[in-house]
This record gives sequence, C-alpha cells and structure tokens, in this order.
Amino acid sequence: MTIFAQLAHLSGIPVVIGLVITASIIAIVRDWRFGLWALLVQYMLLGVLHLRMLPPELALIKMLVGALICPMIYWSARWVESERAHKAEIERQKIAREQKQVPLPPLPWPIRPTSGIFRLLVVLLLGMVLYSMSISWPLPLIAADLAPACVWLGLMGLLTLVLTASPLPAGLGLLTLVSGFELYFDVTQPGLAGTGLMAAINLALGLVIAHLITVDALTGEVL
Amino acid sequence: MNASSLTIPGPLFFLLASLALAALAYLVHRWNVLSGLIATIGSLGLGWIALTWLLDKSISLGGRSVILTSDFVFLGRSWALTPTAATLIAFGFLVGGLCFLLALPASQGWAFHPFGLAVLGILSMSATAEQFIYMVLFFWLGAVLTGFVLAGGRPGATMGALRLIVVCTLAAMPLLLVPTFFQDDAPPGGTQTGVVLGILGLGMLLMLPPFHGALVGAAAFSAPMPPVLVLSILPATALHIFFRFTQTYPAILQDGLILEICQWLGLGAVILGGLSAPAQRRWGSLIGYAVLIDWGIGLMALGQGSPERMALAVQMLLGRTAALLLCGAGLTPLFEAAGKRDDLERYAGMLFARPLNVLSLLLGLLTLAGLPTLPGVTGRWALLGDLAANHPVQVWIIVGAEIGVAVGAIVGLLACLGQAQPALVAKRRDELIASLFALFALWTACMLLSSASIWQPLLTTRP
Repeated sequence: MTIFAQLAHLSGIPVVIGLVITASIIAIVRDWRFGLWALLVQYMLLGVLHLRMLPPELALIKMLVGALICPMIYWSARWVESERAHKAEIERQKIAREQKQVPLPPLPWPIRPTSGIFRLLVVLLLGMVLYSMSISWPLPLIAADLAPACVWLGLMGLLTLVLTASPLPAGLGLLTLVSGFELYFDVTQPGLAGTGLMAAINLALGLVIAHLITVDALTGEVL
Repeated sequence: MNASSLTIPGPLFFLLASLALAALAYLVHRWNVLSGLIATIGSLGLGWIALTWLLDKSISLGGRSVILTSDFVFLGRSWALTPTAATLIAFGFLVGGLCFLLALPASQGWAFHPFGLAVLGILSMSATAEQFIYMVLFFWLGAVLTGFVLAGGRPGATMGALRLIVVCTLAAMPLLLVPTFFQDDAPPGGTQTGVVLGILGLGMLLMLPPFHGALVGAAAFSAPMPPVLVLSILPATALHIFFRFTQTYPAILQDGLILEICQWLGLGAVILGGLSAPAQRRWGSLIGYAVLIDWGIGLMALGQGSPERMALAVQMLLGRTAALLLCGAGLTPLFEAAGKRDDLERYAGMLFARPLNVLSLLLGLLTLAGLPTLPGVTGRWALLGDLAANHPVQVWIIVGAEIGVAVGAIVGLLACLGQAQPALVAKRRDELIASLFALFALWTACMLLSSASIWQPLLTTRP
C-alpha cells in the first residue's frame, strides 16, 4: 500500500487538469475509442482523488469498477461496429452491382447531430461557467482543489446527455456524470456499505449501457 | 421458538428469494413459458408471504414454521420489515406476478422475467431500508436494472430505458446529498441547500414536467408488458420515498413549495398529456400519455397537502395499476398478432379477429381516462369535487384531458375496425387463451380495488 500512500499525498491540481481533459474528450470527440480510453483514464485519475478521502482498499475498488466497466462497453461497441461495417459493405457491393460504380463506404456509426466545432465551443463556454462558479459559488464540504473536478464532470456528463440520444455516447456521458457525483458523495458519506452500493450501481450502469448499445443496433424480431 | 422453526431476517429473505428465482428464470430463459411460470409462481408466492406476514406474522413451508424477523443489520445499517414496507413489497410482488402471468402468451424479451424479479427484490430492500440514503441507493439500483426489463424486448427501441435511467439517476443524486445538509455540523445555510436539493430530487423522482419524458418513453418504446411492471412499481416506490422523505425532513414541507410545485406541474402534465394523446398513432405512446394524465392528476391530489388527498394519490396508483394490467393483457396478444408492432394501422380487423383483447385494451385506456363507472374514476371524484369549488378551470382541464385520451382510444378502435390483413387470421385456440387472460385481468382489477383495506398500511406513512 506504499504507492497508494504516496499517491494520496499528491496535489489535486494535476489530476483535476487530467479530468478536465478526459471529460472534454468524452463530450467533444466523435470516435468512441477515444471516448472509451478517456473514460478509463478518468476512472484511474478519480481513483487517485478518492485516495484522499477513502481508505486505499475502497479507492482501489472504485478503480477496479471503472476498469471493469470499460471492457463491457468496448465489447458491445466493437461488436456493433463490426456488424454495421459488415452490413454497410454488403449494401455497398449491392449498389456497385446495380449502378456500375463504387460509392464511398458509409460510416459505421451515425454522425452526432452537432458538429465538433459546436461541441468545442460549448465546452469552452462551460469552462467559463465553471471558472465563475468556482469563485462565486464554491461547493461546500469538499477541498477547494477537488471541487472543480466534481462540477466539471457533472457539466460534461449533462452536456453529453443533452446532445445525444444514442446509447453509446449518452452512456459515456452518464458514467461521467455519476463519477463527478461520486467524488462529492464520498466526501459527505464515506463508508464501506455506501461505497459497495455505489460500485454495484456503477457496474449495473455499465452492464445496462453495454446492453442498450447492442439492442439499439439489432434489427428484426423481439429477442 | 421450537426446533422445527426457521428464523430468517425478513428484508434479506425477499432479496435473496427473488434473486434466486431470477437466476432460475434466467437459466431457462430460452423457454419463455417455463421462465414465465417460474417468475409468476415465485413472484405471487413472495407477495403472498409478505401479505401473510402482515396478517399473522407466521408462515409455514413444507410443515416447517418460518419466522421472518423484522430487523436486519449489515455493516451498521439497518433494514426493517414494517407493516408499510411489507405492504409495498406485497404490492410489488403481486403486481409483478400478475404481469408475468399476463405476459405468458407472448415473449416480452429475454430479460423480462429474470431482471423483473431482480428489480422487485432490490426495490424490496429500498422499501425496508431504515436509513434514507440506503432507501434511495437501492431505488437507484433497481431503476438502473429496469433498463434491461424495458429494452430487452424490442430491438432498436432503447429510448424509453435510457430516459428512465437518466431521470432516476438525476433524481437520486440530489436526494443522496440531502441528509448531509440537515446534519448538526452542516455548513451555514445547509438547511436551505438541503431543501432546494430535496425539492429538485423529489421533482425528478415524481417525474414532474419536464422530466415526464421518462414516463411516456417507458410505455412508448417497449414490448407491452414491461412498462406495466415498471410504471406500477417504480411510482409506488417513489411515493414511498416521498412520504418517508417528508417524514424525516419535515422542513421541506414548511413553506409548502414542494406541494405547490406538485400541484402546478401535475396540472402541466395533465395539459401535456391531454394535448398529445389524441394525436398518437401508436398504442404504446397513447398508453404513455394516458398514464401521464393519470399521474398528473395524482400529483395534483398530492399537492393538496391534506392526508386525505395524499391517500387519494395512493388510491389512484392502485386504479392505474389495474388499468395498466388491462391494457397489457389486451395489447400483448394483439402486439404478437400485429407482427410485434404497435402502429395503429397494423391493427386493422383486430376487433373482429380478437374482440376480447381489443375490449380489454380499450377498457384499460378508458379506465386511465377516468370514464365514469370504470375504476379509474373512484380516486378522482373527491379531487374533482374539491377543485370544482376552488379552481373550476382545473376541473375543465382535467375533463378535457380525459376526453383527449378517450378520443385517442376511439381512433384506435376505428383503426381496429378496418379491413383485416390476410396475415392476421385469428387462431381460435389463441383467441380462447387470450380471452381467458383478459377475463383474469378484469377480475384482478376488481380484486385490487375491492380490497383497498389491505393497502391501508401504505397510507400510514403520509406526513
């Protein structure tokens, strides 16, 4: 546990900056691989922050839960992408046979309704909101260097949920939102039972999101 | 205590038994009828055990006396099987059992039986939790797992499940923070922050507009029976949390703001539902908006603030459950016959091919609409009398919304009168089975309403 003890004494600022970057990537970038990697890194960074409030064992549970959620979503997204790519290729070949020309391959995932520039601008705007909030309305009970991480994760999670109805990006947004809340919740209600239940809720969320990603891509009859 | 008796902590028993049944139902999920029978018998059995505990507190299984102790302590947190909690558990398992039974004619998705049982077990822990935080945490966990129940049945339709999970998550988060701000060592202005968080959380928990989309979406984007289960047990647990919350933190009721919000946003839900219902061209959406209107009227009753009117909100919940069971019982065989779609144009000729199913569906919708002589009107009558004296405009709005649902139901009936598609030739045996189910649903509705005294302990939690 020596390494955990050392990590617990780290300054929160670099970790918070890391969290700002990962949450922004989840909100802005369209490719799900970047989003999922950002989510994994986010869970690890959050684990480091949790070390300041929880015993190392409990903080490790939170990291492990994050490390379990990401593969669940990865396998669903990967399967859906390969299925869509396969169907798109069949469609492309069919069109090519009929029209004697080869069209561009369709994108495996539907494009989000907003452009990357728009999302970047919204994130920058929310960054200003975060800055003004941290000065005029600081979160009570939590250390000043950790509060921006809670608010930022919450804002980015809500933004992602507002911008999309697709289970994959919305799921990443929901998990980001819950991560931000959990950081604050652990300050107010630390304890084994609470941490265990939150871990169960996170795992259930990961499973449901992975299920929704798969079901959303299925066609045909009722399962 | 004699040697042949077995002592089990009551709260733990319901969780473990339902999870064990869920595992069993999952193992045989490829055989829908077998899985459904396990879920039905198990769920009805657990509901019966909860009722038996309520009545005489001793149960006999296989000649052995089983004593369910009321308390269970784990890691310093306690769960207690109070009469209120046992009533809610009995309600959940009995409604769950009826949903599983009525869903037997058609598959509702592989997840319906196992995850339905798991959700019931987890919500039983929410009902018995002594600490408010654990009540909300278990509710959140149960609500997340309803995603499987709702989205397991219709590929491509994940919107309802996603909306419900997001709204329940957003509701749970502020509620979980409330106790911190009501503690003695809370920061300055903590009570005010707690009240604001409580109102925010309760507003979302009660699915007030603009969060009503979760309620409508759950019915609109799913197979017919899962929303009946979800829209019966989740609002019942939400009301239980509301009552417990206001008991634990009476400060939230001091200025009456939350009650005012319930009343006015309930009216908003009625207006939204009334305007939207006649325009729907899918049974699922129509049922969703009809539920929204009924839920809105229930919130208006809740917003009146008096214990009698709060009891009316609970009574409306029972009527709504009966109506939803009727809708589900009618729609399930029709949905199967229409190629697992609920677009009205696919139901042409159904009135002649499956008249009892159409009748059951229409009766359910008209019950939700509060048509006089049907069970749905019983809870509303006293409320309408009150409103007629003080706010007559609101009475007209409610009546207008009810007419909106009735118009939607008539549009659906007209669609069922159309020329039958060749593929929709009714099979006599299926027709008979479906008719028996419809009759059973009617009988259930009557039973639910006539035995209101059983649910009396649920009302004792009101503030």
